[in-house]
Amino acid sequence: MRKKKQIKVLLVDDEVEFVDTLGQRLRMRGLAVDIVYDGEQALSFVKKIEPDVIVLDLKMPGLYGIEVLKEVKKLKPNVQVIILTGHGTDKDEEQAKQLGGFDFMRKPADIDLLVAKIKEAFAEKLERAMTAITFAEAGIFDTAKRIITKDE
Amino acid sequence: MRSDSENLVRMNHLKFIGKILSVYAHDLNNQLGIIKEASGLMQDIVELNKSKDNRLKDELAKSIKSIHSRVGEAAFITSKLSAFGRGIGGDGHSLNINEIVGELLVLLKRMGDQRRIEFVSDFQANIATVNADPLMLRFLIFCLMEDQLMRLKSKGRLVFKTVRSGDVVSLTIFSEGEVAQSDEKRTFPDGMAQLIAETYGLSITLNGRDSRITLNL
Repeated sequence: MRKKKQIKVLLVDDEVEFVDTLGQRLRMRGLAVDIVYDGEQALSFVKKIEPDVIVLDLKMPGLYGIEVLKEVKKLKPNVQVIILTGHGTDKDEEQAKQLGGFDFMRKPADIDLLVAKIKEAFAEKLERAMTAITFAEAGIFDTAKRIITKDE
Repeated sequence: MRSDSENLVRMNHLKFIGKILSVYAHDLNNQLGIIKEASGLMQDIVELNKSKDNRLKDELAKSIKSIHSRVGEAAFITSKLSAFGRGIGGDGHSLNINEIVGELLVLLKRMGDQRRIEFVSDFQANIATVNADPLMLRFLIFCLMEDQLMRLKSKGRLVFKTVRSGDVVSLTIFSEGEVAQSDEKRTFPDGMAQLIAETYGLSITLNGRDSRITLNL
């Protein structure tokens, strides 16, 4: 019997205790979780391993979350990013969505809602990839490439 | 009738209070976030009915300890905010500069953390009390602090030193570390510290990496 693919989640937050505990709770719910504690670590990680979904804090020492989002979208446009912040303003939310962020949530967040959002984000990622494959198989490579790289 | 400079200072002092409250709210929210996750983990463990497993019992104990510690942190931060509120509403007599700076350092620690700048206090013990406008003194310290913070590259230090010499008490804020040109937007216009000092009769000296407030007993 084929093993169900685990959704690969990268958590990025400088509050170590918060993010470690959140990571444990997400693993208990069947997600494959990695954790980093700042923006620079997040970008190094993404260069080596492509997560399906990143859950990203905004206010961190060093690189601000919005900068991380911009860079991630350049490096790995398929990766979905959910902002999870205690600090975000409406302006931050608008900017995050314009940059291709999947969703914007405020701390403290309901764990079940967060898991639902992660699964939604992953489903969208898969759908996009399958649509691109369909176009590629049909020989419509420009469209396939656009589907992969464009922020919908 | 107030002078133009008084009006300008007063327009900006509300921004100062707003800044304190927003930084505080962020800090408190972080503590609550951790508490929520730790208590949620406990709930997960109980609901999954694995509490007989010793490893998970240890996790449970760790979560409880975390909750207690974070509630303590949140209460400490709130007590500093409460002291800030009482202080700015006071009459300006018998102000303890060590307490005022201590309060601001707790409330504004996040600003330093954000820029990876360490705040260090070097207070003279049992320092004499001074008279000054309690809100404007705090506002002035904050402006000088922000000025120095913006000058520093990350991994520097901001040192707050209080000393009594004769009939004056001084607070010196000096920065250690690499200087940076910061693009970050300041809370207040340039020169706000000088304006506050001139308008409210507070004495300051600015020497690049050193800022000093001198207060008479």
